[in-house]
Amino acid sequence: MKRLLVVTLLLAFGLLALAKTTITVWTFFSGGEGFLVTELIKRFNAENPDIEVIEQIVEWGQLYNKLTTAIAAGDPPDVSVMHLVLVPDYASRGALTALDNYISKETLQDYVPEIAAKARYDGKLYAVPFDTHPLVLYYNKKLLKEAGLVDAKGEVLVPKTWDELLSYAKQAKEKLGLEVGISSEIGAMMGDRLFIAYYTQLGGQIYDEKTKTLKFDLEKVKKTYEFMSNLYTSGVMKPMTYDTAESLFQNNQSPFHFNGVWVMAVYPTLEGLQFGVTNLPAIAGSKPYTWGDSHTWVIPKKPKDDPAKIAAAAKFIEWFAKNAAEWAKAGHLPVLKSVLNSEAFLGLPMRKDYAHVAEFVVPAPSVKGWLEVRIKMWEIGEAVILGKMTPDAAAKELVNFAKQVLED
Amino acid sequence: MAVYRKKKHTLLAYLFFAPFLVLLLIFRLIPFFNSIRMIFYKWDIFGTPKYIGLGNFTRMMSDKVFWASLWHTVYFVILTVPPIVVLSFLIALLINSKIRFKDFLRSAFYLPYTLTISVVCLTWTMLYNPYFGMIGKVMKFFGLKPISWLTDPFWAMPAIVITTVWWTIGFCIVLYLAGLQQIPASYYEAAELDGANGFQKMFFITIPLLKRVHVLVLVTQIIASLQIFGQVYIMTAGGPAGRTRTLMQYIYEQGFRYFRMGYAQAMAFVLFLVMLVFAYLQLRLMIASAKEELV
Repeated sequence: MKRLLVVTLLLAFGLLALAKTTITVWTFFSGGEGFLVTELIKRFNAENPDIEVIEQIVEWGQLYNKLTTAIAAGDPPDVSVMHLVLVPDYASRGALTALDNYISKETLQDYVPEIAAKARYDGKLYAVPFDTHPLVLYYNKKLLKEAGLVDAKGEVLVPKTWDELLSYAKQAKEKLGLEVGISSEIGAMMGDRLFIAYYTQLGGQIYDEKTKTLKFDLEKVKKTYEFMSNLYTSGVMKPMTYDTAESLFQNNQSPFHFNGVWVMAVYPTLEGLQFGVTNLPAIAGSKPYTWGDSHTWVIPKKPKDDPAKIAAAAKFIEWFAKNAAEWAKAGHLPVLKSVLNSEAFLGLPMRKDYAHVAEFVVPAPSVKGWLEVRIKMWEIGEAVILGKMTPDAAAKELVNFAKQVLED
Repeated sequence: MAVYRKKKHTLLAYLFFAPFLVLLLIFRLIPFFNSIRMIFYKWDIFGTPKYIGLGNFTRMMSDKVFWASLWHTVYFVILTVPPIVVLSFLIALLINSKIRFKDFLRSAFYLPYTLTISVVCLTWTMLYNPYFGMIGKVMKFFGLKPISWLTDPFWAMPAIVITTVWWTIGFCIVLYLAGLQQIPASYYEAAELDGANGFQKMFFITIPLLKRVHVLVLVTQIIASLQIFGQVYIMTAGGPAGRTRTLMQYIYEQGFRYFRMGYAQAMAFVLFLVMLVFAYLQLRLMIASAKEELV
């Protein structure tokens, strides 16, 4: 009798399992961001009774290590989050499933073109981006008003060019007796993000379409490093860590601040901080191009493809991208034009001030080995900022390094 | 008869050891020998390894970042180990003496060791903040200019060293306390009867009798410090300008970030050899002092 019960139960569970396709998803979002993902997954599960998405949160710093080893061991999750910048490194090694046949054309056409292009490697679609997080400029309204940086109507002056930014920052710093005019972290924020922004505004390219390789323009790299070096020798900026840069801005000690849009999850909630957010300044005659990366969903390659599972996973990741207005509460910009222009997104605080930045985002080039170049860029940038390397030597070092990485 | 009994004992010993040996074989020895094999290959984790002989080692020889990282590691060891050994010994002496608040002090010095690395590093990152951190405020109070510790090419490594010493010293204090408590009180009483002063008691009783603890603390700290990774990774990410990148971080970057598993393995092998030397040294010194005590 007992045995019969067990068998019946097992059968019942077995049928239940058959009816549902289970999808495991690895994410690294925590805190305020993580909560949003979890909520979205819950909604997806409620709307799709035939699919069950199970989220497994992996520690932020550990996800790629675990993912790499899981793929190598043949037992990866069905879906994983991945920064757009990493897609070429995995796709080029056959570690990801191509998604062209699984994602609808309408969705693909809806993408901001720059982002959609970078989700491809060798012509095939390997990732479904669901946001972009560009570098933007934050300004402190209270400090700028105190420094007299206002127009006739009493509105604070928002710098449109780099020259304007520098002169405003200098004026505010001197008038208010502050330590810095602009606060920013010296590693990634300057060496990689601001570098790409300024270099692109100079008309520089990182990727050579003809040879399909990395290629920096020596002269423009040098100019970019000269610009960066000048920010520090002029005293407008000082070398500092990410935390220091943030705390200066949050405590009304820095009139301007370079950071990603992700801080929009927090800054509007800070009492006593009256701030604005806008695109980076531009070189006269250029558009305000800026660095940006994206969070994407990828489907890791398994030893044996299960088309039903891939289809279910693809359904989920496409759904997620379409519902990214909810996710944008974390500060990120949606990457589907329909979501970017939706009231659900633009109704969020201050989003109208920086939603347009999506058009000027320059993602990292789709080449293998970019990560290594990026770390080198942080190092060289820091050396320039700290006065340990001249812009000339720095430019040569970067150009040579990019060549060498590709030969490897 | 005696021989038979001995044999039986050995067999029994191996039987008890067997589960452990099997696990050791599967999870340690087989991966270890596999990784040794890997130092002769070029391998990007996903693809098939390609034999390149000593290619990884020739690469290492001409890789400036490898040498810089090796030097930063050694520099970290040089800066970290002496203060840990000396301070933990002195603090243990203090706690072992007849002072007040002994229990409080013992807990206060040991508690940091129970914290996780991220808590320790984030706390110190806040303290080091030149504008809002406590250290900067104290320096300002004394009319000094605050240092931007973690972005200063000179101070970044000492800042990590200070954090590490504060974090790990509690463990060494406990080792020293255990050693101190093993020294029989009668030795000191006898010395006092002979008219020995505090200095003599320290240098002829305490320090020599703690020889095994000295060796243990010194060598374990060297080996631990050679593997420095977490603090750097969290506090400076190897910066500024690569000045705090240690060998472990470089191995990690090469293996997991740039998909050069063979090369990473080869560098790890070099680090392993260095640690092996110290482990061997410890063994010899321990055996020597154990023999001495038997005499």
